[in-house]
Amino acid sequence: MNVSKLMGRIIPSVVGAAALLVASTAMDNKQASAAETLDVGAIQPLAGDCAQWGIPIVRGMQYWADQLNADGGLLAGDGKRYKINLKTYDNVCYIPGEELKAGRKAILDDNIKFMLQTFTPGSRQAIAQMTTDNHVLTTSYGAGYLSKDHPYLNGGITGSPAAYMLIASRAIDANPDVKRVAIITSDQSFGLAAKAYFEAGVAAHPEVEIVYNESYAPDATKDMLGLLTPLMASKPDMVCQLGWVPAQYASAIETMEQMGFKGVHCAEGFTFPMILERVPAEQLAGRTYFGYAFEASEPTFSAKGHELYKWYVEEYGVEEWSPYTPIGYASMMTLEAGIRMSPSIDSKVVMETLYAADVVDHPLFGPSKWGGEEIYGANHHLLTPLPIYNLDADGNVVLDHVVDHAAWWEKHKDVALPRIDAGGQVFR
Amino acid sequence: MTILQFITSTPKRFVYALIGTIIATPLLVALPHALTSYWQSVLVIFALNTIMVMGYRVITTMGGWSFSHVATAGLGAYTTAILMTLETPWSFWATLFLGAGISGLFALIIAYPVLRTRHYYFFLSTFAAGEALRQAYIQFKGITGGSFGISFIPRPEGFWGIDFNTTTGFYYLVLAIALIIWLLLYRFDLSRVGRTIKAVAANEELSESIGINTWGHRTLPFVLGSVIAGFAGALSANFNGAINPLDFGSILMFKLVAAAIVGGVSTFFGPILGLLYLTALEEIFRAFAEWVPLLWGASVIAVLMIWSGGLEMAVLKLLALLRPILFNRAKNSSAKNIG
Repeated sequence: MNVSKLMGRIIPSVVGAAALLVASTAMDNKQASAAETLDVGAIQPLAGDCAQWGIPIVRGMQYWADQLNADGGLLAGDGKRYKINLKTYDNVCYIPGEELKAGRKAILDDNIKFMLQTFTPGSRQAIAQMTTDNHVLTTSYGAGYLSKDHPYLNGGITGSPAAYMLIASRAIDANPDVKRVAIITSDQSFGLAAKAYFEAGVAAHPEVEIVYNESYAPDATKDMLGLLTPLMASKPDMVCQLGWVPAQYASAIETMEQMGFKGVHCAEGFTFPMILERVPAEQLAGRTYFGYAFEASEPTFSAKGHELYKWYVEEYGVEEWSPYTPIGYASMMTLEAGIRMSPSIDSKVVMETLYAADVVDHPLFGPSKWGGEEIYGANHHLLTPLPIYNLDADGNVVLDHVVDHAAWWEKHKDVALPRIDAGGQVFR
Repeated sequence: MTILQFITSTPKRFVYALIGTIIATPLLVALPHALTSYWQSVLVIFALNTIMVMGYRVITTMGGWSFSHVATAGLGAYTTAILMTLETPWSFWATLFLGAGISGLFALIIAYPVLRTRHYYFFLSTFAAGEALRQAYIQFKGITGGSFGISFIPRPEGFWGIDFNTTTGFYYLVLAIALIIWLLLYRFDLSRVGRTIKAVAANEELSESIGINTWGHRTLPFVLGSVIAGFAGALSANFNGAINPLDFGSILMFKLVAAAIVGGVSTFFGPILGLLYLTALEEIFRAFAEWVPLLWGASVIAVLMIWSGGLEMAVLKLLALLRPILFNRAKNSSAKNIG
């Protein structure tokens, strides 16, 4: 091979790489020059299996931004309007190291000051110090990990993992025949957090026994029958589950139903378009308890929230609807409330304004109080009411009950807190 | 061998490498001051991964491509993380060397079964060993924190006015360790033992027939590469401040293997060149991070199809082609001067 041939291969590669670099720099400059724009970051899984969670969450956030931008931007407490520019960052599948990598891109490279991330405790801890050092107000669809040393992390709504406790408790309340509960979660950080909170919810009912309580490695889901056989052998009346991606929920429920399970399913959310392809609605009617933020396909809890569902179905089709879409949308509204109240757009001032408010008037959930002191040593978790849903025989989602999170906690914390602590979820 | 004998027997190539390193060091020291905090962190991660690929390349010299390298690095990371977050924390320096030692010890223990295998079977057996180790990080919750991992690992105390809590300060620490490892490994690579290891890799039966201890010459690079991985793991735990079993999974391992394929492993700089290419790709496409693994995979396939031997071969060919041109020019000009 001669020099010209070799250079003929090298030069196009170098020119191509340089062109890409110039193009990306030009894109950055274009964004930087736009005035009165507020960059908001979202760290979520954007590829692979976990994108079944991440992409609907980001779509919910995009809807939130689009709605505000259509009104001319978010009217902040400083009297100015800010157009929201949503930037997304991939954390692969809630891997703490990847969360940190994504956090560095968002915070150090793009200078993001307002952000949404997962509740996964390991991932929250991974970027906790960076958010504190760089004053990045970071919310989530739940708490997971909070600390007075890292005040820029907050829990924007009840969300995960607290919702698991409330769902399990409500499902038992609504089904007095439930005496034996099985808990199955993934062995990832978020799955183990869920396990502790499901246990806490069951602990509020001393007459109920946990008969199965195991974690699984995500790879084990390829053999759903093998995974669920020992669970079914424990003869539960209710199965609380977490960690399946939506398609796996459908497979897990189908498998349990085929194995003769007639009891109650409880989870953060069910992707019914997938499930109802496998199990008829009349078979599951009244037996699926779930709730995360709110279920937008159900119109009575929030008319404003139901608009999200209509937009989503129009944009992506009904079969794409995911119960995870509303959680990003609802969580961003807590930040929105803070920015509206704050006299300045500065993230430190917004944070202080939010925590100084005894009650935050959440645009979806209404007046909600801060809590979390007993678990996190800081009242940085907004205890929004949790609507819990069920399925009717026609395949429609119906509102079952709205749990007052703060009231439930006051009533049951003496029995719930030790279980949360035993699960390694107390961070005081 | 005395120190004098060692110095006098030092190959010229090592002397050039040493001089080059001394010349490059001020530039590498000045580099972070020209960068934003984000690019400084990219630089630190690149330096950490450079240590990892240098260790990985040592293993490949004995003819096997290990898939347990990243999990082994986890031993260094967990050692540092566990001991530095105790109520009475250990010194960073003690945990750094202990972590590297434990990584080496693990490699020595698994060497017996895995080095009995060759080719694909070596790859598979190291994959199994690495996966078993990663499962241990998950299952021994009381020690490792299980799936939650360990967070808020402190950085080491600074000295000579260097604060390791800053990214630049930590970069200097990683740079110093990387340069020391680079020089030691390069000298090792050029040594008689280093050359014997490659000879064993090229033809094990022939080497054994002339009395070379092939088992020892395969075990040594496997253990040495794992010790280097342990250093990198311990440093990355300190830099990130948090570790989790998922950090030691297949994503980083694939990056290292891809760096070795894209860059090539026959020269010392090949895998570093590959790592530089993959890191550049990752950063150019950072706005489309979800596409990066696809681009890495495509690069591996492209290199295998177009430039088998990796980028290092392209660089070597270019140098080989340029050398006579430059040499003749110098010769001609000196001839003219004489004339």
